[in-house]
Amino acid sequence: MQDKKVLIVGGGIDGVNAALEKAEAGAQVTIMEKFPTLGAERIPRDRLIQPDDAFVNPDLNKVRNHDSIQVLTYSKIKKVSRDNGKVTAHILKQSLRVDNSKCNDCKACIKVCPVNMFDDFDESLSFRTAVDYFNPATGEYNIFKEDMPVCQQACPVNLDIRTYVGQIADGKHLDSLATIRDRLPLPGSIGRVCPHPCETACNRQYIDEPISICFLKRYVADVELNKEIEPVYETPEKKLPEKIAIIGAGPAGLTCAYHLARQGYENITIYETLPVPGGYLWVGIPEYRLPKKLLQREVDLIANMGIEIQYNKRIGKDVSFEDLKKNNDAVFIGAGCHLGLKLRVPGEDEYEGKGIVDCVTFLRDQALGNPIDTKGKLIVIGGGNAAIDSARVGWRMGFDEVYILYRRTKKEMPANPWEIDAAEHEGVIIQYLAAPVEILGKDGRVSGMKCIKMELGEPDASGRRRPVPIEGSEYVIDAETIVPALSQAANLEFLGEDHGLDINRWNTFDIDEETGATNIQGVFAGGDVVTGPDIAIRAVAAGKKAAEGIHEYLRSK
Amino acid sequence: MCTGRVDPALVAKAFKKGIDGLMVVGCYFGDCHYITGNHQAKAKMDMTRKLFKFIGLNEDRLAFRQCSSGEASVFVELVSEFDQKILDIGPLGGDGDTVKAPEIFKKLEAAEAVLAGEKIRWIIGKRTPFLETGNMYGEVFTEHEFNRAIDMIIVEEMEVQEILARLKETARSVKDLANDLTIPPARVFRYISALKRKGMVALDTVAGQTPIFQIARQEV
Amino acid sequence: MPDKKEDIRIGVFLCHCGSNIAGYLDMEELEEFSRKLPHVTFVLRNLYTCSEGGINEIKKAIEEQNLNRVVVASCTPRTHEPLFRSSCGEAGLNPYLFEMVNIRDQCSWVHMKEQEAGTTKAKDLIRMGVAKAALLEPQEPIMSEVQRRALVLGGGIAGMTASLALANRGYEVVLIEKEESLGGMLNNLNKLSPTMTDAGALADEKIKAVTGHVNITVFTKAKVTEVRGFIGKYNVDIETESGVTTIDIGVIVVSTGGRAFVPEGLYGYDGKRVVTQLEMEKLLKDGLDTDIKNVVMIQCVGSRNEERPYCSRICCQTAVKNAMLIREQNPDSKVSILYRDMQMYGVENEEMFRDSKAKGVRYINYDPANPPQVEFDKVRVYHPLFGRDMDLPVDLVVLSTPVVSQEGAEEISQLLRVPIDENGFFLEGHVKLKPLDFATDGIFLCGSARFPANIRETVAQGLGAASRASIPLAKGSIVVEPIISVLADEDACRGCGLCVALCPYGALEVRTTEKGRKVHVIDVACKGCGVCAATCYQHALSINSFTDNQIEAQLEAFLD
Repeated sequence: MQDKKVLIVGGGIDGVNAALEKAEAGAQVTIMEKFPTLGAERIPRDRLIQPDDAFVNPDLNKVRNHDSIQVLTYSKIKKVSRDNGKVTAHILKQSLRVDNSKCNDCKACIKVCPVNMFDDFDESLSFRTAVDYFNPATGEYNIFKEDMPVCQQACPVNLDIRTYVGQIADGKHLDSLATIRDRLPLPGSIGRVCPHPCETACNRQYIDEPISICFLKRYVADVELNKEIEPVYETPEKKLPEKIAIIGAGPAGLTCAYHLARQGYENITIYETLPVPGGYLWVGIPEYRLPKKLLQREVDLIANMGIEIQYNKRIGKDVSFEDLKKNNDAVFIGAGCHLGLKLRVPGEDEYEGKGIVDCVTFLRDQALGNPIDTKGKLIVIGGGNAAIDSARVGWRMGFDEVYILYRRTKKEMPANPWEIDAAEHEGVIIQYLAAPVEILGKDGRVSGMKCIKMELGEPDASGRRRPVPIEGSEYVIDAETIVPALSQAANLEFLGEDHGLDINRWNTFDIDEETGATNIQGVFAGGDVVTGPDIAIRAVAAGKKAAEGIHEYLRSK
Repeated sequence: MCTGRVDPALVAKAFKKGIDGLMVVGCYFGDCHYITGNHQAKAKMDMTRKLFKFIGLNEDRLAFRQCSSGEASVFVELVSEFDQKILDIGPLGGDGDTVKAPEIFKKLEAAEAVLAGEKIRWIIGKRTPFLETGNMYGEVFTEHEFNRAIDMIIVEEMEVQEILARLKETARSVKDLANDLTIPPARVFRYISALKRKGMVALDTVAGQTPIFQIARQEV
Repeated sequence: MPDKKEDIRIGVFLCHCGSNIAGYLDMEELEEFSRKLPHVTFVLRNLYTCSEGGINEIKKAIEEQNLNRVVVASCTPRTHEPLFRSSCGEAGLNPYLFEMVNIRDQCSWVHMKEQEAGTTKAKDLIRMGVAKAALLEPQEPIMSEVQRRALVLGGGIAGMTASLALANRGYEVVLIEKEESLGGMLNNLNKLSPTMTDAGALADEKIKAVTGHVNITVFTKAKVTEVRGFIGKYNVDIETESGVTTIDIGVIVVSTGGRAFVPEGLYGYDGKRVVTQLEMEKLLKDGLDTDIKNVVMIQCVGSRNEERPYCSRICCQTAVKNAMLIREQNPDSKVSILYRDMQMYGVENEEMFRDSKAKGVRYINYDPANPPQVEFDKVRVYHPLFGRDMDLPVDLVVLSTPVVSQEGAEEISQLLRVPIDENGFFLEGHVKLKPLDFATDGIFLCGSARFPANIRETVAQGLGAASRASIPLAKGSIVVEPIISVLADEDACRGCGLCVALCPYGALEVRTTEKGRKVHVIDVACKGCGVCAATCYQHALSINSFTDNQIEAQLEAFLD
């Protein structure tokens, strides 16, 4: 029995009794409770269990002073693992925010505390303050500090929204911008394109509508622009010598470089395949949503921190990945997802490049000014933002008619609703509940597409109702250009053979969530190349996290 | 002595005693004989004005103005202007205020208790640290947020003090209080249960199914 | 001491102030009125209460009438309160049982044309004064020792002068300089107007005197990181390359100076062909290139604009001086000064200005809305008398830039808890009455830290500040008025420290006592502003002679 160790989860009456029982039987007992005190949840003073009551009040002092009982209050189980018949529990012991040894239970703190919250012990019947006692018999106090406001929590980079919105309300626009730039170096660009998960979380929506957190970011960035203030992104005086290579000048790469430069690294080089910076922000997002001039300005601000951006440098062709790894102390891969997925219908391969253009290529050619034939009709297939962007861009380029084909209904469409509305408003014809069957061609070129009508069946794994074809409902749309905009994948060819990096079945990297580190020392990754196609702000978050990981790695080397 | 010495509770008391207007004149910011006392005074008077507005007193009856000791003409202008303003507003609890006499004096009594009370004094005292150096967690607040917090506390504290004032007269049920004060019963109940926790209100009797509350005899 | 309410005996003295008060207010009515006020047992009118006769009347009344409170209704406490206080003290009454009512400055002088209204207001004021007097309590003045050592911040000409003056009087001086060597701005100057003394020689002389002085300890490459305490008992951390030293200090002189504004981006400033006056000094010191034949100086560069609205006032004289020195070194050169207004205060400066015109320096007025244009080899300026643009050929353009506040002035202001103005210069206690003192006792200022000053003024200010700083050092102790914050209700205090954070003087601290954490008032540092008392949510703090119930009594008396 000597080595027997028991963990008791829960410090209520039963837990305490069990702990005593086990300890008396000779086991080493650890009792863990999520609240700051033993003896269960806070009991009102007038409802304290008295010795003569039907319930027996556990002897808390005996538990506290027992030699073989370890008490962990205000703790959480993080992880439980089993190995060779042994169970290991990782417990997070939180520290109290009140020094209870000095507290004399005067309740003055409760009287002055300005934070009123619903009392969760009372099923929210009454208010309590952020500072509160638990077991009145033991008088243990604690302050409940919420981690972050909901908006900040919802934001992948945890922008200090509370502060920057407040600063705008105070009229301190430039301070607000500085607050944003502390975490996000591209406020003007992200402020235009972000699908703002923060606003989805905003508590204000339950009163009227969410605060326009995203556009407020754009607003302060524009205030600076209109006042013609040229900011300088500061770097510290103390420089660090390590060489860092970053693959891809997209939001992840730029953010990573920005945060590294702010740590003092002065030998940072970004390798970019395209002749332009910004990655998908430049070649994926149309001019009407994000003016290139503005993006260029924000990239220049980052580049002016002493960061070198080498354009038209394709890793694996101009420089090999191996050389990059050899010549640098750390490498960050933020290559993004620039490979459009295929439709997998007959005729697709046959007319590849002869009327069939995937949406990544389509948008890129448009953004870079490459010639595109805009004769006749255009069909875009898909329901994401990329599909809407392709259609709206196509409409602007002068196609006669623009169709979007989507398998489900408008309700299920993943694109932002305001984008869908705008597309419809502009004259794009959206056909819901329709799917491609075959690509038709004539004289070696696309001439149209055979489609089939769908209806919604049972919900699938993603919770959306699965579209089922209606037999015999095939029809044909004439078209000269077809743009599949299903999804994008990462193109990892640049790594070459034998790169040794862990790649998962979605063809993206497996990384350490906390640091962005891959399985190879000194190689980090982040952004779409890890997550698959995702929103820009999450790539920014990944870039920031990787910058911290790289800094930690280089400093501990 | 500095304008920073002007205790908001004294201001409320002065109005309760029947003055019609009160002007606090301090130094210019950055030119204060007591360095930062005028900032404190401004914050306190701003807060008091908010409270007055909430209780239905014309907040223009209380003014914070600035002039230097060398500016006799400015001082004369300020005083004349304020004098005229108070003449225009008329006597306390008259047409110039949304709440009339004698109700206004009851409200002022509660307001005085709020301004002498712990919570609002604590938060207004914390204003400078909150806005400049941040709280214990290093979070610096914006003026906007701070003012919002003040607005909320004013409502709460006024309602709490009015409940306490009513309970001082006689023990009452939540329903009675809610009727008297036109505050939703649910909210009154929350205040009562919070006050119970703070040891300021206690259960008197239970009449039928209705608990009757009284003021706690001994405040902790 | 009678403390029961019925034992309070108040004497009211009404001063006619010649005709200053009696000429406008009905004194007889005031006398009658005062007699009827509660606790008033004696009323007397004097022609001048502050005259020897008047003072003796007060003393006599205290003795004969057994008065235990005295109210004088007269001119203003600013000038006469100390006199009346001490008179009460001489008659054996605690000086703080005296209350003064201002019926001249704030009443008779204001209401010269409204005798009736003025008299009514005087009645209000007297009634309020009497009501407060009844609640006054005796106080004892506070004494505190003074450490006989001065700290001088900044080793420029101001700091060195002040240090030498203090050291020569026998006090220990600790001189802090942030640079490697003493001298400050003096090291960069050439000749000093109007005597054309050599700046370098002056610097050498002063540095030698300072470093060789037995009473002066010099710390170079040093800065003050922490200042604790108050007048007489400062405790200062000084950080140097070799670590941190802690020294006890009695008084502090701030002489951190200023620095010349660098006009980046203005008038094509490049430091070579377009230079500042400060750089001009160096060019002259090294001997001017003989090729330089045409020089144009532009005044008010970067000053008297929206960003820096003030006139730096020493740049004009510097420009004129340098213009003449250029003409001296290169006699066939042409110097033009483009100015907005010439600030040539003082006899010598005016003389030098006239002299320069006689010696051929050209002056052209320009309009800030239409400033001169600096091009590669010429300056184009609109000549208001000719009514057209004119081109001046140039080999060298000299920009007169203002003196701006020293780097780190804000940091020092926070360390010492002394104010700076909107331009970053330190703010004196009173522009005329206390020009070299801060509002905080025991801290003094001089030189360009206060406002741009030339060397001569700086030396004078350095001597002046040293003289002011010598007063507490010579006395060895200070006496402070006891009208300060007190912890009236120790039990109520929770030691939360709210007041500590708000005190503008650092006069409060939380100490652990037998009763737990309690606030402690450092009485010497407290100025009695009362912010703490108005903030304390436990109403534990109060201000002597301005307690809540005294103010309340005045309020009630006003409404009676």
